[in-house]
Amino acid sequence: MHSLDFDGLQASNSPLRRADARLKIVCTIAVILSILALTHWQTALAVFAACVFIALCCKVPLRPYFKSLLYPFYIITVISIIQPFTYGYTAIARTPVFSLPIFVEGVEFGMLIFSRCLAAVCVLVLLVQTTPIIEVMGALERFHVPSVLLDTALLMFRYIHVISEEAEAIHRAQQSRCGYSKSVGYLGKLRNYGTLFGMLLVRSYERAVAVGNAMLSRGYCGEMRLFTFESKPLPFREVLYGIILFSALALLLMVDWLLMG
Amino acid sequence: MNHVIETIDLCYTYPDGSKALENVNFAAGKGDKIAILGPNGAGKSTLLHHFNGLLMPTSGKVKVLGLDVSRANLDFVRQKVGLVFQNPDDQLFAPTVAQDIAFGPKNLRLSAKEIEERVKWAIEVMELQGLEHKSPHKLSQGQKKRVAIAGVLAMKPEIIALDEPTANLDPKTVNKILELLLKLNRELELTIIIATHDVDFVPLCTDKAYILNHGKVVAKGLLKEVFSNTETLRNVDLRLPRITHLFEILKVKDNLPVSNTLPLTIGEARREIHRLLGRKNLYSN
Amino acid sequence: MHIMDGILSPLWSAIWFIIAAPFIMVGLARIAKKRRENPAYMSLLALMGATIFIVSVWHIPVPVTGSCSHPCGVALSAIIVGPFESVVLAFIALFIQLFLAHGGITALGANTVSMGIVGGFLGYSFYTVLRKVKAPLWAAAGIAGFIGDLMTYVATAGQIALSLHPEEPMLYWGLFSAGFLPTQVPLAILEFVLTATVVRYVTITKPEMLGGLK
Repeated sequence: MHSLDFDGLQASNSPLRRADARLKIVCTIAVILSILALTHWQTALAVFAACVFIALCCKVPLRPYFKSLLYPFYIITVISIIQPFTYGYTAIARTPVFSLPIFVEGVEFGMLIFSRCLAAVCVLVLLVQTTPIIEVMGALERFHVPSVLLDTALLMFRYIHVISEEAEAIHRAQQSRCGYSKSVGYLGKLRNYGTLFGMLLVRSYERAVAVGNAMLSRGYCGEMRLFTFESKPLPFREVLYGIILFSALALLLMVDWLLMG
Repeated sequence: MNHVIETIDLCYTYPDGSKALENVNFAAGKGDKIAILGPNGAGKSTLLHHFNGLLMPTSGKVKVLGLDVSRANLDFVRQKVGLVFQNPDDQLFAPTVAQDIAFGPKNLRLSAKEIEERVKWAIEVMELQGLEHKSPHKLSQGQKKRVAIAGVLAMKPEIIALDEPTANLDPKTVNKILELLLKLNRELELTIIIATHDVDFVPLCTDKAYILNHGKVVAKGLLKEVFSNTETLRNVDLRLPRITHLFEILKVKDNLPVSNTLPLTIGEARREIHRLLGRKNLYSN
Repeated sequence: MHIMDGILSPLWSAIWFIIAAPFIMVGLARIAKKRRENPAYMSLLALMGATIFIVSVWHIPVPVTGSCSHPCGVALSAIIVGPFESVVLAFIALFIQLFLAHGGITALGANTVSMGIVGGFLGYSFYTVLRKVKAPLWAAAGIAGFIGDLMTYVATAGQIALSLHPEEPMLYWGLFSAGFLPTQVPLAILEFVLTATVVRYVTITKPEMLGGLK
């Protein structure tokens, strides 16, 4: 299952990789929220262009970005395509087949949603490519996210790899005895997937008992944090970058607002 | 009272009624190296889980450093007896190696400085330098095993109990772990208890053995004694070490004048061969 | 198929976070309570969560659309660990999926509501009601899976409609739902078979799992 490649996305030699995770999270959320507030597809596209520019400057490969766009492509397409035919009042043309009206406002709104998604996904991918999940969780600890949530998440993340390997092993074992060949039929295949997942759950349950024992045997009593992170002070230079970014966002929103007038 | 671990008539019955241990009397002195041998399902792991207070006896007693194991002193027992699980993936649950090793000391409520020192020490002892910030799923099986042992060592136990320490490891890693364990035993007088069915490994790292079958101790004593009783070994689905088996064949089938105590390791076998050939002083190098 | 960043307005992103928050809080409180009673519960919850995560990202071929898709797993999760705990697991799963570049940060709240709350709770209530009226286990679990999957997408369509077209949400809800329908109905049927088989398998081989975790 190649979709579980958390490190495949990582750009380890980028200068963005070294920046403080807390700052990156705050900036990412701020940029995405600003994008959401945009009302013109031109400004959204400008943000997208800026992101691509930053990615190129910081040696972040864009291939994973375009790959990750494929996944939500369906949802964006459905939403954007519905717009021109349903939204607005100024019809500019009609479709030849059902003679559906095409509205100017709908076309523009569709383009806005499309470009907003383009830009927002790009920003998120930039963060994901330059920040390992563990660092993000460390930053969340600084933001006082409840420890129960972080502990569960970290423990879960740790075992995703183990269980994924186990799942693949069971899957291969099923395949090697023709569990997914044509003669089984689609329903049969689905049942075999069901058995695979059932087995996986039962094995995980047994493993959970063993893991629990291993935790207890090293003195875990459920009160304390399972994991803690070291914290470093935020370098002044990075704070400065953050301030510059926020000013740029303010400017962007202003431009977008002026375009409306 | 010089036993670091002792069980007295230990019985354990699983909630479903099946008997896992029956009247087990086990004792380990400080600095001992003891093997618990037995086939799959003999109750080896169950016995180890009692040493650490993960399981409580149905009847009988478990004593650690002279203290009866009870709910009240679990923290003490778990610090003194380190348990290394068979599958390191069950034991390494933290996101990085260093964090995993720090898990035990942190539960002991040590100061941050002390925790850091212990983690550093355990990493050095288990020769894991450079892996501190790796996540466990990126390590090889052998590295994972060493991290698992380091995580237990960081609690500074006096007894370390390992469940099938050689399972799924390549020969070189087995040697490495053996070497590290022997060093710990020599330098820190750490008591080592190994539950295994790897009879070839046992003579290399232990000098006493208990043989467990269907939850009962069927033989115990020095390795020489235990392995001289081939009948019992085979009855419980174990075998002699390969090299010992060879000498048994030489003795019984080929009528060679092999001494009564069969060699258990390659070193002992070499000595025996030289003796048979009438050479006396050749094995000094 | 989760909502990604760029679709919901800032206001609606916030609203969905606010709606999701109490459910997550209750879930966390319940987890914390069980952890105090039995520290080893953490490993059980995390491993079940990780397994359900793997199930939900596993590519399964869907014949009608000719492509692969992911099952949703929310009903299964709610049946095994309980509905509130399941919301927490869904939230974490969505968070982890960000690092595979799926979903979105600002849409985390909305996706938690559609998956964990709407899908999870509806699936779970169908399961409990059907079990009460003595429906066979496979049918109860299967229908829970079917409902959980379908309702997740209907909810997603509703969220998009509310945010993009607050003037006529009902019309666009219908339109978006219809747009997603061709891929979602086969997926819901797939989820029916999967959930039914998994729950049946678990009850046969490890019956204590379904009762012991809640």
